[in-house]
Amino acid sequence: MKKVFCALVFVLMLAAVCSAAGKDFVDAGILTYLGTTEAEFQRGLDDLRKAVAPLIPTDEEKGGWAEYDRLEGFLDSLVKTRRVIHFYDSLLSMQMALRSRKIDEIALPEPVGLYLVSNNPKYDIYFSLNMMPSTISFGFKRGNTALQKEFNTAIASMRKDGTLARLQKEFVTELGTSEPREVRFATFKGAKTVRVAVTGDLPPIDFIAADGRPTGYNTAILYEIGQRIGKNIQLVSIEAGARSAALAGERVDVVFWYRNTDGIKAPKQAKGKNLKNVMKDNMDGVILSEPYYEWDTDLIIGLGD
Amino acid sequence: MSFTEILYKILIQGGSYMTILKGLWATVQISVFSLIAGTLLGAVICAIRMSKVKILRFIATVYIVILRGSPVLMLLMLMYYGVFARSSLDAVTIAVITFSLNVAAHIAELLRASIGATEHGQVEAARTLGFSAWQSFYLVTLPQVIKIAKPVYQSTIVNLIQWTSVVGYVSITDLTRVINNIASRTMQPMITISIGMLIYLAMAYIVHGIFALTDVSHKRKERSE
Repeated sequence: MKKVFCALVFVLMLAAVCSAAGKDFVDAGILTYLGTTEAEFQRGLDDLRKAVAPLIPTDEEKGGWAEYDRLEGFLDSLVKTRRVIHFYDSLLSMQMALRSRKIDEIALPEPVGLYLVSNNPKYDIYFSLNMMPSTISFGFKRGNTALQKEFNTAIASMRKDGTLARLQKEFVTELGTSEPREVRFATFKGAKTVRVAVTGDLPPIDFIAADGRPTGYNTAILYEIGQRIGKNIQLVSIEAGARSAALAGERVDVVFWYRNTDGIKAPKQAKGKNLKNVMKDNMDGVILSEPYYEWDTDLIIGLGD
Repeated sequence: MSFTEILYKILIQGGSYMTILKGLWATVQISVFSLIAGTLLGAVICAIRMSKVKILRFIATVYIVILRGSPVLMLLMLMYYGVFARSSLDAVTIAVITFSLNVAAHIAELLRASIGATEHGQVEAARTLGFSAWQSFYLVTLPQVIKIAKPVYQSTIVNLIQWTSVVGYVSITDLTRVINNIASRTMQPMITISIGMLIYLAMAYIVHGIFALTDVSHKRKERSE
């Protein structure tokens, strides 16, 4: 019986190794898009791949597509190798999948990717994709337009006086391997309190320090917003997957909305769907603020070996 | 980065150990209060389940079926973001209520099965000897029920400790949430989660140890008698 069991395990392991070795696609992990499903996203990506493939080789067709230069790397990698997309609710579970080789690579916004690689030498940047402009915004429950307006005004003024750029420099681009500094919130007596959900799952943007207090770029932005709108800010630490429920149940007033993108438009010559319709990360019950962080480069990261 | 440096970063740097201890305290707090409330409620539900009134039996059965059959995370989210969304109760209290309700269903069934395993003839004999209904339950049935239920009750406690690991979804920073935060901060998920697992394992063995100690003291008591 023991021998039969061992033989069975050996055969299963061999089958797993053979199937992994023989696969002609790459398993790629991305953080969950809340407005679409994994299957829809995959269909959109495959459709785009099929539609774009005939356009890649010739120069004339490249010229016919204004976005080609910007998307060249992405399209080359997309067309040459099929990506099978896997959604992960958190960066943590995505890392675990990568480490256990369930997936071959993960895609992350540049600052998060750089933080990951600089803090763990096991990871390596395979290539960077100047893929599509994406943004981070604050999410509010639909109907809470008063708070949305206040946040938008504050973000606009921060953009105008250079505060956004200054904070981005301090908390993201020039952070390196060090931890972001502590952000202490001022208290306005008698003022209303805005409760904001933090996840700590997207360092150095959404970050929870060793002593358990939330900090990082998002927190610094919230400090400034609190100052400008004259309201107290209360940070509520919550799992990334519970953001929508927290908003809907009015346990928090604001959440960080990770990615808001228009997706990729397929060229006119390409027949078929594009990624514009399936890369939405917004939901019906949520309204978004003006973006306070923008990036257009994603890093594709894998294991160093 | 050497393994020692990684461990230092995970456990010590920036007072990380204090954050872990705080998370551990939240886990212990929720587990202990839920266990106490769940056991008491479970006993009541068991009594209702075994009552002679048909409608009460039906209500208790429905309660047990629903609570035992539903995932505790969904129940917790439903309670926190739905039922108690407008209440002033804090997240820990709502978590304790939720886990108590869930554990009560399991304990009610455990007690019912244990009572069913005792011989009814013994109670009848006690009543013939002049014991009241309460005395025959307290002196004859209950000691046997405790003995029968003990191993499964022990597993229920360990399960409860593990179930509490989902409270991060309702804004409680428990041990799992702290471990996840550290893993995200240090970008060392494998080592950090292994440490978290060891702490949970230690808690499970502390529970086993307490039960083993009660067994030893019980045997000593029996021998001295």
